[in-house]
Amino acid sequence: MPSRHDPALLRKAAAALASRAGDYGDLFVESVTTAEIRRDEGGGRQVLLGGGSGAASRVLGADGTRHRAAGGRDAGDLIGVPAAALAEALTDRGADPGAADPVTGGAPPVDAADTAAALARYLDALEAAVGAGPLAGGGAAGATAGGTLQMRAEARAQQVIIATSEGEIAHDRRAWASFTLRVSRPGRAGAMLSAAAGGGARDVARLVAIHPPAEVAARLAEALDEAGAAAPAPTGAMSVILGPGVGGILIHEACGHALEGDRALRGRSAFANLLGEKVGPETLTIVDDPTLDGLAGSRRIDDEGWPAAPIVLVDAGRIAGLLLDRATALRAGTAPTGSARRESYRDLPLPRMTNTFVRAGTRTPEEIVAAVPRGLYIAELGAGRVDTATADFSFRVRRGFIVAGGRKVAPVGPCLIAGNGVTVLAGIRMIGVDLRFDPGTGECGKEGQRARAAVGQPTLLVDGLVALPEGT
Amino acid sequence: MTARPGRGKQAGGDRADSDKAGGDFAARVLASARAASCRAAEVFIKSSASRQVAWEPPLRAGGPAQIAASRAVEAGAGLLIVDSEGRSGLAWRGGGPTLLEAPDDATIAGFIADALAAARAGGAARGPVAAVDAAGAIDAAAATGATGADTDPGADPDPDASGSLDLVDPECLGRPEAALVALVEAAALEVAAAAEGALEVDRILVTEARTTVRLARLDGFDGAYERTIAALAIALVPALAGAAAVTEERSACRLDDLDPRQVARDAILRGLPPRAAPASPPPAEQKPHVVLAPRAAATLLAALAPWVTAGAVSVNRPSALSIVDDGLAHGRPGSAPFDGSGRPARRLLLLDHGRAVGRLTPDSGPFQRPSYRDLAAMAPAGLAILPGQQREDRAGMPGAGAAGAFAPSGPTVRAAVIEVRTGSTWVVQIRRGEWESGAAADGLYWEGTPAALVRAVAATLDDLAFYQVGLPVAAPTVVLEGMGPWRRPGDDR
Repeated sequence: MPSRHDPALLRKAAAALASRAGDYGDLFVESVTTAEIRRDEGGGRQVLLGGGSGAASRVLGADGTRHRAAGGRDAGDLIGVPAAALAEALTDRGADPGAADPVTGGAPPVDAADTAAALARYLDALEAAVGAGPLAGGGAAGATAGGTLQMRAEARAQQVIIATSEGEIAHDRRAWASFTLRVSRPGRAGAMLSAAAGGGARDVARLVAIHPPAEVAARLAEALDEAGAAAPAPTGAMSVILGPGVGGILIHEACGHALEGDRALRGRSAFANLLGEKVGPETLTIVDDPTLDGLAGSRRIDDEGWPAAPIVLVDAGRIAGLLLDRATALRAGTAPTGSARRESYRDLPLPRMTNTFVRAGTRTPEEIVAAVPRGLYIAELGAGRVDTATADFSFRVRRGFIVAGGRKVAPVGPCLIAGNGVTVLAGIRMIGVDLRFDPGTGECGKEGQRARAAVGQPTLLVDGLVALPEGT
Repeated sequence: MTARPGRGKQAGGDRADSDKAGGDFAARVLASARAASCRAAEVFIKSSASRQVAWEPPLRAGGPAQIAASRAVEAGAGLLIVDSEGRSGLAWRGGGPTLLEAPDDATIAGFIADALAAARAGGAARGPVAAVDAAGAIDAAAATGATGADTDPGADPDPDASGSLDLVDPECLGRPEAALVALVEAAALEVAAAAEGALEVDRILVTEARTTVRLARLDGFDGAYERTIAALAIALVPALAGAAAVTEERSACRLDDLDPRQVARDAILRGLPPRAAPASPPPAEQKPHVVLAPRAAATLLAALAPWVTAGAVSVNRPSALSIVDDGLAHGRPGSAPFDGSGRPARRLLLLDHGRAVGRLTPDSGPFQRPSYRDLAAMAPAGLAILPGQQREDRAGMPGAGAAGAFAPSGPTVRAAVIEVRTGSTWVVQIRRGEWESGAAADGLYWEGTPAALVRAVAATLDDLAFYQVGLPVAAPTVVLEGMGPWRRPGDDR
C-alpha cells in the first residue's frame, strides 16, 4: 500500500524505464475498493462490493509511447519492473484497511462492507422520504400513486502511487460517494412525469449530511409539479439564462474540452488558434481547479504525480491556458499543468478537466432575470452532444422556465438548446454573484475513459443560443 | 442443469494452466460458499491479454505519426451468492493471473465475506440474480421464454460449440506490432485519398484481445470458453465547414475480418458535408423506393433494437423485415457457447416478416456480462437483419440483368448514410444519398412510426455485413417502399 512501499526500489525501477537519452518513464500503481447499490423499478436491490489493484509502466520517447499494464500482485513482472518494487504496493483485495496514509493525509481507506451498510441505510431513508412524498402524489400536481423509483449509490476509494524516471514519487488517496435517483409517476392527464436528483460527497457521512433525504424528496416533488404544469417550450434564437450550478456542464463540454491540450495541439479544437485572443467579456474568467475542497474532481496530485493546481483557462475574457499532461506539454515545449487523468492503470493518461467553473460576477440573479424581456431560464441540463473541433453543441433541457417581462412565468417541457462554444462565450452579457457547483454526480467521458468531474457556474445571461423542439 | 467440466481447452501449456487455475479457484470459492450456508453461488472468471496501437497524424507536415502501443494483462472474478436468508450479493476481485493460480485462504475467505456483506446490505434475490437461487430455475425460466428460439434454451451448452463457433484467431497477439501499424496506416491512407479534403484523421485505434471466460455454480454448472476480439475505430474530424466529426467502429473475432479501407470509406461518407439540393429535385411525394446500403440499414437496426428486443413493434401486413438475435454466429464477438448467466447461447427470432415472434425477457435473457465487475444484464448478443436471396441489379455490377436480381422500378433514392431520431414521432433523414439521376438526396427526411418503417421494408438483399454501432449488428441492403412523403429541410408541411 502507499504507506508501505519501498521508495528506493520504486525510484530505481522508474529510472530504469527511461533507458535511452531523452526518454521519460513512469510507474502508476493503483488499488481500488468500491461499494455499489442499485435499486430497480421493482424494488429489487443489488449490492456489489469489489476491490483490486494493478500497475502500469509507460515510456515516452521519440518513437512514440509504450504502455504496459497488469493487474494483481505480480504485475511488476508483467510490465517489465522488478516484482519487489511493487509487491508491497499491490494486493488482490484493493485498499488496505489499515491506517490512513501519514504522508498524504488523504482520505482514509474505506472498508467496503461498512460503506455498503451505510449506503444501504441512506437509500432506505431516501426511499422512505420519496415514497411518502413525490411518489405518493404529495406534490401540488395532485398526482395519484403508481409511480416508480430507481436508485443507485456508489462509494469508491482509490489509492495511487506514481514514480517517475526523474526521481519523483507521489501518493494520493481519493474517495467519492454519490447517489442518483429517478422517479416517475402519472400526472393528472395520465402522462408519466419524471424527475431526477442526485448528489455526491467525499464519504457517505458527508453525503448524508449534505443531501438529507427530506430535502431530496422535496426537490423531486417540486420538479414533478413543474413537469406536470409545463408549457410547450419556446423555439428559436433567444436570450437564455443558465441557472447556477449544473448549467456549468455547458461550459465544461463546449469550452473546457476544447481547451484540453491533446485536442488543441492537434488543431482539433475550435479554440486551437485563439490562445491570448479575446473571446468573451472582461468579466469572464473560467478556471479548472482540482485543489478545491470536497468536489468530485478534487485531488492533491494528477495521475502523473504532478501537483494539482488551479489553471486559468479564460482570464478576463481572453483564452489564457490549456490543460496539459506530460505528453502534450512535451509537444508544446512547456511544463505540464497537473491535468493528467486516467480511469485506471489500464488506461493511458489524458489531459482532462477536474473542477471547472466560471468565477462569480457582480449581478444578482434577480437583476439578470429582470433584464430579459423574453427568453428561457434553464435550471437543469441533461445529456448533450458536442463537436469539440467546431464547438457546436446541443443539450437537452430537463428543467426550465419561460421568462417574460423580466420574470420566470411558467415551467417548460423538454426541449433542446443548441449553439457554439465560441459564440456562447462571446454572447455572455451578465454574470451573477451566485457561483454554485453541481451536486456532485458529474462524470465525464473521453476516449472511453470515465472520470469524476465537477462543474460550477453563477447565473449567466447568454445571447446566441437557439431553443429547438425535442427530437430535432 | 447437468454438471459439466470446463470447455474450450486447446493445446498450449499457458492456456491449459490458466484453465486449471480458473477451475481450481472456482471450486475453492464454491466450496467456501457452501460451507458458509449459501443457498446458491456463481463464480464468473474472466482473464484477458490485450494490446492496442493508437495512431495519430503527425503534428507538423513531414513529421512522424504519433504512435502509442499498449499491452495489458488482467484477471478477475465475480462471486454472486444467495445467502441462507435468500438475499443476494456480489463481490468482485480484480488482479492478475496469481489471483487465480495461487489464492491463499485469506483471499478466499475475504471474497466470501464481502459477498455475504453485500447480501446483508441488499435484498431478496430477484430477476436474473434469482436464477442462481435454485437448481432447475433456469430450465423453468427457459421454458417460459423460449418463443422464437431456433435452439432449445433449456439445453446444456454444446461442449464443442466454442470451437465450432470459430471464436479464436490463433494469430491473435502473435503478429508483429508492425502488422497492426500497417493496418491503421492503410486506413489513414484511405482517408487521405478519399475524403476530398473535407475530413482528417483524428485518431485510429486497433485492439486485439484474447479472453478466457469461466462460469461455475453450486448447482454443478461449469463452463469455459476462449474468444479473441479485434476492434478497429477510426475517428475523423472536419477539415471543411459543414463536415462532421465521426467515429466508425468494427469488431470481429479475427483481425483479418476487419477491412480498414472499407471502415475508412464508411467513416468518410458519414462525415462529408451535405451536398446542396438540386434546384428542381425529383418529386419526393411520389413515395420513392429508398434503398438503404448495409451501413445505413445497420443504423436503422440499431434504432429499432429497443423496440424489437422488447417485442414492442409488430405489423400484420407482410414485410420483408426479419430480425434475429444471434448468439451463435460464427466469428462474431457477441457469440459464445453460453451467455453471461450460463444459459446456452441461441439464435432467437425476434421479428418474422414484420411480426413480433420473440423477445428478450428477464427470465430467458440472453444476458451479457462485460466484466467480472458487472452483474449479468439482459442484452442482445448480436442483432441481425436476415438477408434475402436477391442481389442488387445495377448496371456494371456483377450479375447485372440476371434473373431474380433486384431492380427497383420508379423513382429511387440510394442512401449510404441515414440518421434515425426516435421519440413520439420517428424521423429518418438521409445524410448521404442520391437519386438514380445522380442528383443529391442529402437531407431528405420522413416522419412516422416504427411500425410504418417495418411495414415499408419490401426486400432485403444478400449482402449481409457486420457493424459496430454502439452494439454489434449485421445488416444487408434494405429496400423501403411506399414511405412518404419525403421532405426537404425547410419544405412547408
